[in-house]
Amino acid sequence: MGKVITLAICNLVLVILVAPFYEGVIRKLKALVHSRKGPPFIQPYLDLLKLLGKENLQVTKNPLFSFAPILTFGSILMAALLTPMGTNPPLGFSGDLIVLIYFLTLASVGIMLGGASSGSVYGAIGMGREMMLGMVVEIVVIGSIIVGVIHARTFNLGEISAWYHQSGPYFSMIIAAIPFFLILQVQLGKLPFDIPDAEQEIMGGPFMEASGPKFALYKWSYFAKQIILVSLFLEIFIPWPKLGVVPLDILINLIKVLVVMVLVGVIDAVCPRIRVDQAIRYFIGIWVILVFALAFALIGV
Amino acid sequence: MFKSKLKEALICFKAGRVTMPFPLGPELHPPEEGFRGKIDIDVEKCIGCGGCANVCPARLIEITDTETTRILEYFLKRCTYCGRCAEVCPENAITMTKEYQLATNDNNDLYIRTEIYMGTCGRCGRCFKPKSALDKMMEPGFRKRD
Amino acid sequence: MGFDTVLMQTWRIREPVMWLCEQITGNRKAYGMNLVGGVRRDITPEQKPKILEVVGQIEKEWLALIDAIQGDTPLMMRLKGIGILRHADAVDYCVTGPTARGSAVKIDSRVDHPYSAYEYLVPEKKVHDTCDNLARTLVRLEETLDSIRLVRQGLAELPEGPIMADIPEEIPPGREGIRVVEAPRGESVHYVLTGENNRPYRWKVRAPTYMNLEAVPAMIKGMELADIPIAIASYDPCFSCTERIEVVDCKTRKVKIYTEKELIEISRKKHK
Repeated sequence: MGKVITLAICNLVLVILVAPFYEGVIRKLKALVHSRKGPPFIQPYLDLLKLLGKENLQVTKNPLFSFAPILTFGSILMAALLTPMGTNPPLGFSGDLIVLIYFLTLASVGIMLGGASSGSVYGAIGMGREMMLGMVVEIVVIGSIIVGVIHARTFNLGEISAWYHQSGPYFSMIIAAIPFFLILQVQLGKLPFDIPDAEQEIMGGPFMEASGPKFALYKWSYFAKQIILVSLFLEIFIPWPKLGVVPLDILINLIKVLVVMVLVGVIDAVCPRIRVDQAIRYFIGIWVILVFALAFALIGV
Repeated sequence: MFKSKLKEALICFKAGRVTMPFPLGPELHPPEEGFRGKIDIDVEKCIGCGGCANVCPARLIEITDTETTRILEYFLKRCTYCGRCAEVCPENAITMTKEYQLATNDNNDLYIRTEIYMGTCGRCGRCFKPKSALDKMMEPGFRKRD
Repeated sequence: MGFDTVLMQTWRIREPVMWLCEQITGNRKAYGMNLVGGVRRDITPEQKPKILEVVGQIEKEWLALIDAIQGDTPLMMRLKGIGILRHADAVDYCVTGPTARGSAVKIDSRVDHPYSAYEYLVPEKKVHDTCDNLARTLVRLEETLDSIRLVRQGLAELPEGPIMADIPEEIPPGREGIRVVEAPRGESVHYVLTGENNRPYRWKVRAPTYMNLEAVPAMIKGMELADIPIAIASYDPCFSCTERIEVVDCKTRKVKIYTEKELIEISRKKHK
């Protein structure tokens, strides 16, 4: 019981306090590609502090408008408790994969509600785009992990990770890793797919009317989603090396997350944004790869 | 597509960092000769002809005349740094300095006021100041002994 | 589009030009070189090799950048086939400049109505006929290279002589002058009416954006919302060149258009 509580607190601390650091790394990398110096690594912390101190404008009388950021951040925190970050997830139980996916989707729903209830046209457009992308992307997230489920014969995330760590690389798992990596750009809100996120075309989309603390919560959810999704990706598809000592495993996980974030940041810096329908067509092409991976998994390769 | 991305990334990394910590660090290219910055007026040379006021496109030089003095006021807030006043001045009293960091909170930093005593030489028309008190006490020649 | 990388790199490539212009004319962007009858400053012999060096460096980097962008698939997905301004529409709306040349209309005021030294330094008309965003972008990219060629040719063939024509008499008032000039965005028309005391009484500039804006509805018909900012930015509008200000009073629903005198008075009062 004590172990569960320390792991839970450790996960929450990582998600709340360490996650903005990775965003700082991505921004510094983007500045490097732009031939400039860029903000310091702790800039996202300063941004969040500044935003939390600003005035909380209530634009509409709709109570959903204030409830949506809390829903988003709350579901991300719950998802953090179910994510393996180097070791078993703190609240793991059999079937926790479904609950994790549910909470991640609930975060997207929170953003959609915030956009739709803000009463501005741009919010509605942003909500539509988030919904379109969400429908296409969630299938890939579930599908890639189901490949692991088919092999390990359990829905428990910790056990899937442990099984893959023991059994070595499988061909179907490698193929399933590719769609998941491509999905990372969408879920984290990075170019070339940061379509619903704050962008110059529709002036911020769902976040346009959110000011001060609400915007801070939305941003925090994005930062936290980064570390959760990348940890999930690494734990299921690349679980090596694992030493068995819990604090060292968490540290190794953090370093692996840094490497993946650098890759995500480089792709973010050199790509322009593409349009929603072009993105959907691209992802339907990705489904084909997923079908192949599932087929190979069912064979047993 | 990947080859073009690699080429773009190569261009970016070959350039390195090009931004300078400018207000806190040294300038990369200090302005050269012929840079048109803020104007500087040498009152000793000015003869009060008003040519600069005639030619300024932003019309920011105002001339008011009292009985014996001509007051020239330069409202440099609207200056476009074109340099016409410096070119036209017959005595080269207006020069363009190399100052370009001109943001300020105080209006009076960008306001120059000169008062020229209009006592003109009978021959050439150039203004000069009258004798000062010390000049008036001077007698030319050797000291006369009584 | 969010493609900050290419924006930053092109502005980095452009920086040596700004330093060079500062050395030649005294300011980075507001050159102030033209006077009635000539220019104010001459190019000294020390500046000539510097100009050639800067121009050579820019050409090398520009070619590398164009080469790198060609195969960029996401960029081409946003530029090709989008924002189409058909040839018939371009002629009807009288668009000029790179907007027209991207839609297969072969006009260029430097070649059709040559002025100043353009009889000796003849530019090439770069015309593309795909009529989309990509055509307009490519026209601009290629014109840069053409201008580099003109700079080199001009420097090599520059004759000796005075830089300002001698105008002995005052220009009489009441005379008009009108001339078509090629600005980076298209064709500008300058109209001058002389007045008393060797000053102009009226000088009106008709900027090219005034007409290019009229073609926007034809360009964005039937397109997605996300493509509209890119289509509008592809012909580079300068909204301040369309100079009329209408003030609409919401309460009384009256529209007032400010005249020239009133605008000048208001701006002078603000800056006092």
